[in-house]
Amino acid sequence: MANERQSDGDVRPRARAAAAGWRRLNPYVYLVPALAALAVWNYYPLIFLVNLSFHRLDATQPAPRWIGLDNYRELFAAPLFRRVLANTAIYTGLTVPLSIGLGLALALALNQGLRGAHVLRTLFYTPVVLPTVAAATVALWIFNTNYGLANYLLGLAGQGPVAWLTDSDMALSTIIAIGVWKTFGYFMLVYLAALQALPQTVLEAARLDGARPWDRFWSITWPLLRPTTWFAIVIALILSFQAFDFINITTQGGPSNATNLLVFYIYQNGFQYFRLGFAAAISVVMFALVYGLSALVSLWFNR
Amino acid sequence: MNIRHVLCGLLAATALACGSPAGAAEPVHLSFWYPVDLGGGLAKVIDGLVADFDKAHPDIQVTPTYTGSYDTTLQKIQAAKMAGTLPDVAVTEISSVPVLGALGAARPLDALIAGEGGKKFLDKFWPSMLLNCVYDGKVYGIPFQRSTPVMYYNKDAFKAAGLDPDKPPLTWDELVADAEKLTKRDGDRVTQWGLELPLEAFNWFYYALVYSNGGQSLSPDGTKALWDQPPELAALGFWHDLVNKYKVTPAYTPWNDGPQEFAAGKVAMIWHSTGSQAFMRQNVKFAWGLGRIPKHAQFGPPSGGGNLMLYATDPARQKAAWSFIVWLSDAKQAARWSIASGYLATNVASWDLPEMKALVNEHPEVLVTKAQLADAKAEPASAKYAPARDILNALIKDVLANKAQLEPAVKEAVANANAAMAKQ
Amino acid sequence: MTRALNRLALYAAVLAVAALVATPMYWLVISAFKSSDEIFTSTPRWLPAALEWHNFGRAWQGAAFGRYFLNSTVVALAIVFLQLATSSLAAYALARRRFVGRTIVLLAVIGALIIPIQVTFLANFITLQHLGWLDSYWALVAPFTASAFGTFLLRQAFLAVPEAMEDAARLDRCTGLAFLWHFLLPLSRPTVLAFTLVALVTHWNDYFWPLIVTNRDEIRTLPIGLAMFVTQEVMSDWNLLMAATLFVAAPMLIIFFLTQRYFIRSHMHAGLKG
Repeated sequence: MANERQSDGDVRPRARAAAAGWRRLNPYVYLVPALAALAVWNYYPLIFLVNLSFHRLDATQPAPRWIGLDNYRELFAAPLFRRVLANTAIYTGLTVPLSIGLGLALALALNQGLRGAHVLRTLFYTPVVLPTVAAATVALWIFNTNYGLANYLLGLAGQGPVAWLTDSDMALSTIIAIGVWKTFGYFMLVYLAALQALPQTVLEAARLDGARPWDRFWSITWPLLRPTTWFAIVIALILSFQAFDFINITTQGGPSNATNLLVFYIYQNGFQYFRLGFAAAISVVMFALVYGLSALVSLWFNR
Repeated sequence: MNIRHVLCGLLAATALACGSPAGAAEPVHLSFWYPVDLGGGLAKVIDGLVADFDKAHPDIQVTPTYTGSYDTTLQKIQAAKMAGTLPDVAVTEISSVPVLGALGAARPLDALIAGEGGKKFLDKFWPSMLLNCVYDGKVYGIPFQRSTPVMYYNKDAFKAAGLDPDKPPLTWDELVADAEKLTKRDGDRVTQWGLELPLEAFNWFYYALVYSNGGQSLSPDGTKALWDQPPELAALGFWHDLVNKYKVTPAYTPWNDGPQEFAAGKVAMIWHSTGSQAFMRQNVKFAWGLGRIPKHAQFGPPSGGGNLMLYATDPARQKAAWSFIVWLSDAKQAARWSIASGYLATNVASWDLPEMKALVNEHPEVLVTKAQLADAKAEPASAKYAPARDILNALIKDVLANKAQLEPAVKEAVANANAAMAKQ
Repeated sequence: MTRALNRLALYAAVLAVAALVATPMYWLVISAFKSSDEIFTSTPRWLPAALEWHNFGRAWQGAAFGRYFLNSTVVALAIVFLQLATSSLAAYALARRRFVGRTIVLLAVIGALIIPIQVTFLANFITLQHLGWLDSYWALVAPFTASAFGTFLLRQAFLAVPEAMEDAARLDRCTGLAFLWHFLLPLSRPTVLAFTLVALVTHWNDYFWPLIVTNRDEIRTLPIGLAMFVTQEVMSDWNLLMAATLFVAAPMLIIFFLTQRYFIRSHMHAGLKG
């Protein structure tokens, strides 16, 4: 074997010190590629955005100019911002519990050993694997007011056609439905994995005790699933950004800003109106909200 | 392999990469971005035009790229300006002319136009089209795929309702009267709407109504919205009445749904772009006609569509790009594009060409579109109009759907729009 | 008796949800095979009259889908390769080494898990502009060079390899990178495969970021190409649109169906407390 001499310890002291030094350093060296990339593309942007939000940078001001809190003043005074916040709150407030709840319900159901559970599991996960563009395009077709499947089915049920994506009262609900459809399968799998890892002995004992399924769930299973639920909520918050893809293809924030969410609002101001400083301010607000919410959720789950 | 070989190899490679000595002319490669806001198939026509240009000009090679809708194309150009990757030539919606001029992305064309004969060159185009080609006193755009709104109407439905199929309504009063006769109901549900005014991002038919009523919509200096002035208010009020008082129009028809609904017989009269003629000819199975946009105080359809603008900064590329623009604007090419797409032939002389005459013979309704060119007015545009446009869009939707009261909503929208335009 | 009824009710409820999930996908597939007449009708049929295979041909020619396919493949593979490289190195350091600041680094990695591209895109766009990399493959790949998710997953997997193995390997003069390559990665193959598949699908399906940074047709990826095609055809040819959607979605669906086990596995580690 090569270099057998070195494993004898019969090695010059300097070389050994160098090897030890290298060994001390090399975790850092191994970390450099990943950490450098994360720093540049994930962490630095947060600082950059905060800084940019205090500047004006737009089509008529191509070099950033310091304006202090003016972007924030303008933002908080804008009625459209309030509308966007409300829309985002509604969207997130509904998709997160609905997709997680539906995922959990199906996980519980499939965990009962139903026949064909494997096939069903695959089916429910398929929307997760579908590209967002594909989901949005199919949605555009199915929810087409004149020739779409949804209104055809409504017609069969004796109801009049609904303007799913073009009625400002309906559009947000439709986007929420698409969002839930696209993501619940992910949470179903997460909960299935968690359920299968639960200590069976406790559950057996409860069943033998005669506890009803509903009580069994709430007093035993649900608390045991807390870590999973915590994880699911944080992931659901991140997944809710996908809404941009659906909105950009189906409604572009309309009709009448009914589906204008924070992430779209940033895109609209940054890339349509080309007001980058202002868009940065909105981004700062958005990530403050997301992280604030995640922190609150984490605190709640770890109390 | 020693170091000398490597160096020699590198030198040789560099020499090759630097290209052949002057004389072996490399064609200039131009990038051409274009949107198409109508149904597909037009990409092939563009490809055909480009191929013919390349054949006729072997020293220039044009690469066309479809870049989505008008809005998407504008965004891409704005982003490209930031990235330093602007195309050489692009087609953008006419209201983008001041935006791109102010941004410094598009180049003024006056010097190049002077080289083509100055005023003589500009006289080739319809005067109403040139209105949306100017920014800051300089010409930035050359008309390419231009349109005006027209009214498509179902002649069979007219006959069935006892109306003269060759006499579409010409005034607001006639419009309402005819629409009321044409609206058919089955109990509570409407089976055939009398009239539809589709709404798209550019608020075209709002301007159509405002101009028909003698209004302006945007102040001439482009900084103030005039939606709360009497003629503008009355125009929106009329649209509101069509929906809510006379009940002949649905509250919201998406732009893309309009022609489909017309072809399906769900609406008897619909305002849409002259550019939709191709779709109608292909898909409408009943007798249909083209009418002018009715007047109230005057005839005044807004201009629409896209202009060619030049972005190249290098003089050689500019020359090449300009020759492409000039070629596209030639009578023959303009006619070809118009016949294939339904957009109006931008070159006045095109209408005298045999192919256009044949088109007129086969489709006499095309003359209506030509007639409207005389009265066409500029589309409102300014460097800072973008957020105002979106505010107007939301206002129209809310007012028509009765989600807001007309006057207070308009006042609020005007205040917001003026603030937004001042901000940028 | 009630138990059987309950089970039946449960099954019915699950099947109802299954119908809701399956119907849009079914509709996508059959619409792709319909002729235009069958699209513009108020009474759509559940089965097309005939299978219009040439819809796929026409859709394919509607835009440069071949080019988009190539671009998507290159970009997705590049991202996955880079992420595997950076993640395994970082995971190795985090799992098998003690060093000052290890907890902070771990927290930093976990923190990055919840910083998605929709938060960072504006800054990253400007960064790329300064680098002059906009509208190129670099722009599509660079922001995804590292993966907090991958680093975390691999760390968990590496932690499961016993210390004893590392000691034994050291005796064979197999330490550091060699140990990573010859031992840790092969032993964590299921996790590596799981992560590879999830990352591949995720980045193949990327829409938002490529939308922001690409203009030229030559480097467009499939989702963007499809979106362009949608804006072009939205007035009429829904059957062509569905056909195009199908061949954009198909590769990932096929990969998913063939390798389901690994997708499921990626949740095993992630879902539990850790």
